[in-house]
Amino acid sequence: MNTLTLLTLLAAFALGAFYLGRRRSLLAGGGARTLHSLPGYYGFYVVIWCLIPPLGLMLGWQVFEPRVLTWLIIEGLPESMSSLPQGPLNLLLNDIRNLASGDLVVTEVSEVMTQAADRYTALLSSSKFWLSTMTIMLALAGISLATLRITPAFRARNKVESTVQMILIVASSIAILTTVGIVFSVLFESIRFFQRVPLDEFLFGLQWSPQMAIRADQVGSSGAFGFIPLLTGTLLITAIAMVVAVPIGLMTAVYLTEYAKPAFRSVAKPLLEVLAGIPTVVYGFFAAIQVAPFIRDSGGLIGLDVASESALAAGIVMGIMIIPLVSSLSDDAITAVPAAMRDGSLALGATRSETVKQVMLPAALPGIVGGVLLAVSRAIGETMIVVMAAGLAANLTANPLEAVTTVTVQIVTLLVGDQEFDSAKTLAAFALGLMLFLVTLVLNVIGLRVVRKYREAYE
Amino acid sequence: MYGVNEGVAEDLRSGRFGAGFSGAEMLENSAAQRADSPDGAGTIGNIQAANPYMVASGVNVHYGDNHAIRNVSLEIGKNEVIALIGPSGCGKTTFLRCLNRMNDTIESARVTGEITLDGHEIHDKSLDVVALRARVGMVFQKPNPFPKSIYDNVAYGPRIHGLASTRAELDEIVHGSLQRAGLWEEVKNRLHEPGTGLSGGQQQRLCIARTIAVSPEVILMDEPCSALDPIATARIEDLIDELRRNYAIVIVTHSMQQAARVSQRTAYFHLGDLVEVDATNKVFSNPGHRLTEDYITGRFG
Repeated sequence: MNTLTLLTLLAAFALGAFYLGRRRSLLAGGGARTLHSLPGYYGFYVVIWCLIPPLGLMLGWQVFEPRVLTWLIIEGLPESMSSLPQGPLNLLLNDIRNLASGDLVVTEVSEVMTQAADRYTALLSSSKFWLSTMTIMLALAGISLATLRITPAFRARNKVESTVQMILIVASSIAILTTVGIVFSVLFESIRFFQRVPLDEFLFGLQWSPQMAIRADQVGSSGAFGFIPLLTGTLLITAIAMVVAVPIGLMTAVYLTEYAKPAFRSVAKPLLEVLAGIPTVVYGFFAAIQVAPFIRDSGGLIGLDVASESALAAGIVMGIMIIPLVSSLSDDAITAVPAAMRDGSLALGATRSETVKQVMLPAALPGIVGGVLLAVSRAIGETMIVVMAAGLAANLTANPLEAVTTVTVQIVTLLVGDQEFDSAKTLAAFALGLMLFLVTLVLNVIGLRVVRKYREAYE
Repeated sequence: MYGVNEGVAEDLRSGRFGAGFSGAEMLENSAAQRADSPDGAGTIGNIQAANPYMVASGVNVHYGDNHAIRNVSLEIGKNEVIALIGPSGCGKTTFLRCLNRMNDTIESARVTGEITLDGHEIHDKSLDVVALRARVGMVFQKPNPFPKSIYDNVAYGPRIHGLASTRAELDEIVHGSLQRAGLWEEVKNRLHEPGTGLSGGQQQRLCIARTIAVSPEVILMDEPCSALDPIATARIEDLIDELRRNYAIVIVTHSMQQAARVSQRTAYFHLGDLVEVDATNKVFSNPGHRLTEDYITGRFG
C-alpha cells in the first residue's frame, strides 16, 4: 500500500471517527444539554486520537527506515565488504540500491551484490507492509480507545483546545527552528573555513582573491581571503543606494501623506508597491544596460574615467529599488502620528510645511529611522543588481566610479558551478554568509527596537 | 454691530444666502431677536453679544452630502465665555472649527456664509488662514502636546510666527504663557522634559499655554475637560474664567454643569440647527424652546 493510499484511508477513518465520537457522545448523554462540551468536540477528540499517533508513526518511519535498512544490508554483507572504509562502502551501497531499483550500475555486478539487492527489495516491501498494517491498527486502536472514554462528564473541549494549542506551537516554531538550523549550518561550515584561514587574516586582510592551488607550482597559487575589500564595496554601494533612496522615499512619503489628494494617493501607492514587486534581476538589466553605460558616457563627457561597471550604477539602481520600501515604511510612520498633532500645529497657525518639518517628521522620526535601517539591511543583502552592474573585481576603493564587488556577489561566484566542498575557496562563501548574517542581524535588531520604542510613544 | 452689518451687506451684494433666507430677512430676524420675541423661524433667544468680536451669519457646512450645520448665525463677544451645548453630532464642534477654518483640513467639508473677525471676513483672500489661526487659537478635546519638551511646546507658536527676536524674549513669552495657564509653578524646574510626560490635566494646561503664547484674540475650546478628572477640570474651569478678562472664549461642552459654571452665554445646537442662544442663567432657568428644555432637564441627549 503506498503512502497516498494510506493517507486517504486515514482521512476516511478521521471522517468516520468524527461522526462516531459525536454520535457516541449524544447517545451517552441523552441529549446535548447533559454533555460537558458541544457534541462536535467529542467528534474532534476521536479524530485527534485517530490521526495523530498514526501520522507520528509514519513520520518516524520516514526518518528511521533508510538507516535501519542500510544497517541491515551492511550486516548481511560478507566481512570483506562490511569492513570497508566509509567512502567505498557508500559507493557499494549506492550500487546495491541502484541494482534493486533497476537503474544502471557502474561497477561490475557480483553475486554478493545481487543477493544484497534482492534482500534490499524484500526488506523494502516488508517495511511497507508493516508500516501500513501498524498505521491502520494504530488508527483503529485510537478510535476505539477515544470512543470508549466518552462520557457526559468527559471534558472533550479542553482536550481538543489544548491539542490545537500544541499544533499552533509546533507551527510557530517551524520558522524559528529553520532559522536556527540555517545559522548553525553556516556557522559549522565557517568554523571549518577558519581552521584553514586564520580569523584575523579574514577579518583584516586587504586582499581578496579566493583561489587555491591545485598543483603546488601553480602561478598565483596562494589565495588571499581578506574580507575588507568586500566589506568596503558593500558599504560603498549601500551608501550610494541610501543617498538615492532615503531623500526620494521620504519626500514621496511626505507628499503622499500630507499633500496628495486622495485620488492621486489611491493611484500612486499601488504603483509604488508594484515597483517593490519588480524582480531584482530586471533592475539588474536596467542597471547594466541603461544606467552603467549612461554613467560611463556622461563621465567621459566631463573627462572622468568611469569603469563600464561601476559602483555608482549599481548603487543608483539599488536605491531606486529601495525607494518603495523607504517610502512605504515612512508613510506608515507618518500616518501613525496622531492627527491631533497635525491639528494642534495647524491650529496654532503653522503652515503645512512647518507642521510637516517641525511636528510630523520629528514625531515620526523613530519609525522612519527604523524603516531606513531595514532598507539598509535589504541593500546589503541585495545580489543580482550588483552582479550585473558592479562587476566582480574586489577593488579596495572609495571611488564610486570604479568597479567594486560585494559580499553577496562573491558568495554567488564562489558557489556557482562544480565545487569541492572541502576547499577553502568554497568554505569562504559560508564565512562571508556568516558575516553578512551578523551585519544584517544587528541592523534588523536595531531597526526593530527603534520601531518598537516609537510604537510605545503614543499608546 | 459693525461686523454683522458689513457681513450681511456683503451677502446682499453677492447673493450668498440660500433661498428663502435673504440678507434682509436676516436683519429683520436680528431685530426681532433683539426684542427677545422668538418668531419660530430659526434661532430663538438673542444671538447678539454685548461686545461682539466674531460674527457668524448664515453659516452652512456640508460634509459631502451631509448638511452638518444649517444657517447658523451667532455673535461671539469680547471678555465673555460662550458655551455651545447639544447632543452628539449636533454640529457644535463643526461650528467651532469654522471659526478658525480648521474645516479646511477636511477634504469633503464645504463652508458657506459669513464669518467676520473684528469686522473682517475670515474667508477673504486678504486674510491668510495662517494669520487667522494665530488670532483664533484652539484647544482640543484630548490634550495633544507635541512630542517635544515643555519649553518647545510653548515656544512652537512664537517661533513659527517670529514673535520673539531674542532668546530672552522667547523665554519671557514662555514664562508668561505658562504662568497665565497656571502651570508655571508645577513645571518651572522641568521645562526641558518632554511635554508628554505631564499628567492629563497638566498636558491640557500646557496646550492652553501653547495657544495663548501666540497672543490670540479668540480661544476656541473643544470639550477641553472631557478627558480629565474632576480636580483637573476644576483647575481648567478656573483658568477659563481668568482668561475671559483678555480673550473671547468659545467652549464646546457635553457637561451642562460646566456650561452653567463657566459661561456667560449659552448656545444650544440640535441636529445642525442653532436652536436657542441666550444668557446662560436664562437658558438654564427659563429655556425658550422645548428642545432646549428637554436637553437641559436630561430628557434626552
